[in-house]
Amino acid sequence: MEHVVLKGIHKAFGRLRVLDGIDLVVERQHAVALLGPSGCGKTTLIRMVAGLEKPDRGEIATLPGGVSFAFQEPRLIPWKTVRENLTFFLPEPKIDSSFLDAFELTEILDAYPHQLSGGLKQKVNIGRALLLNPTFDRFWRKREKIRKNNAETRMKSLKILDF
Amino acid sequence: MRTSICSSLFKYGLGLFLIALGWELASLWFRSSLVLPSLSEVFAAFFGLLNDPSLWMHLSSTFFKAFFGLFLALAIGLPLGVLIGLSAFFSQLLLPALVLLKSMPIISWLTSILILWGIGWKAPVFIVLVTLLPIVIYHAANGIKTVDKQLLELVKLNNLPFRKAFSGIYLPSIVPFIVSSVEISIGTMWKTVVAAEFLAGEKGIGVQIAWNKYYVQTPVVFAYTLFVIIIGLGLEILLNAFFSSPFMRRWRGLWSTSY
Repeated sequence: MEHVVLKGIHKAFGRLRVLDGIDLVVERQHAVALLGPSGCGKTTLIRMVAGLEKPDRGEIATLPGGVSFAFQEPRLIPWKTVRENLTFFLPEPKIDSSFLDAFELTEILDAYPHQLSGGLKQKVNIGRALLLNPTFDRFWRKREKIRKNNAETRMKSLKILDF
Repeated sequence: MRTSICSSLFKYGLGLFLIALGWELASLWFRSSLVLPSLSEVFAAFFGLLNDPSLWMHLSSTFFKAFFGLFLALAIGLPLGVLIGLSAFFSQLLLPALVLLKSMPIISWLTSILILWGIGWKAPVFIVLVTLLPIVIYHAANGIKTVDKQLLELVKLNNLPFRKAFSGIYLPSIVPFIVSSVEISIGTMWKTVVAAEFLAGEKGIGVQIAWNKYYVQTPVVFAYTLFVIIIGLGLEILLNAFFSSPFMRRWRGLWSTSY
């Protein structure tokens, strides 16, 4: 299944032609890396997929709600704590505790961005982008359900063994 | 550290001493307490006023007018400033009015407002309002215009509703600008309200200065002026203490460079 489709993308900044007829298809559950020299338009292309730039020509199609974006620089809101940064853009300010544990964010939830190292800031940045992605949210819920069921099954087995 | 504080205090004291010396020399030069009374005459009048019960009534009246004017300036100026900052259309639409308001002398308002409201508290409040309004509007508008563009991209990326973006991104970004506008306004407000009372007040420090000027009580005029200066300095010190408190430091751009 196609997750992102780009057809004949053209983009110029003034006289500088950055993208010249780019075609790209990203299949679902595939990891794709864009490689190229500085200034060749990688960021511009990704910003277009996120809807932050408009192509001069060409078409972009993505799965509805299927794209979230982690900026190169963390862009955390300085006056909000890590918890607030993670939940500010969500419709409901709730985060699964298993997600926080998996990302090792539980300990720093009440810290402000200026109290974090560069790596931790980036972790919060990526965590926020993932939380904002409904596909990832569904995936995480499903994963947690399976994990819970497995745990319950194990508990039942233990109980049976007890008897 | 201690030596530097002692040195600063010494220089500050020396500065005050030079002012006092200059004053006394000028007073001796004029040889008339009607033109420039000696410092001893001014201080005698000052301590005489402290025992006058009406002084506190006049002071409270001046305080009320000054802070009511400031409150109105903030209540009207902040939303207008935000609107100007957000919309190029409103910015261009309101710019002529702002320039007019900023450049118009206080006395030009007087005829109209005296006919409209007569002598009383409304005219000084209005004059404080029109004096402070451009300051508040400019600061709020500049605050909005300097909101971090990278954070605004996050807002756009996540289709955040304007209400949430305003309370979560815009408003905290303009807090340092609002604080700065209040700092500037308080100093201006105090001088303006006394001048406005002088011209159109019914009671208050400015009115007392006006009456004593008519009766050529120059030492009392300077004694009231001393009150105005002391209160102005006091307000500034209180405000500085408040704005440098840990709570306000957090709001005043602790985050501006560190993320």
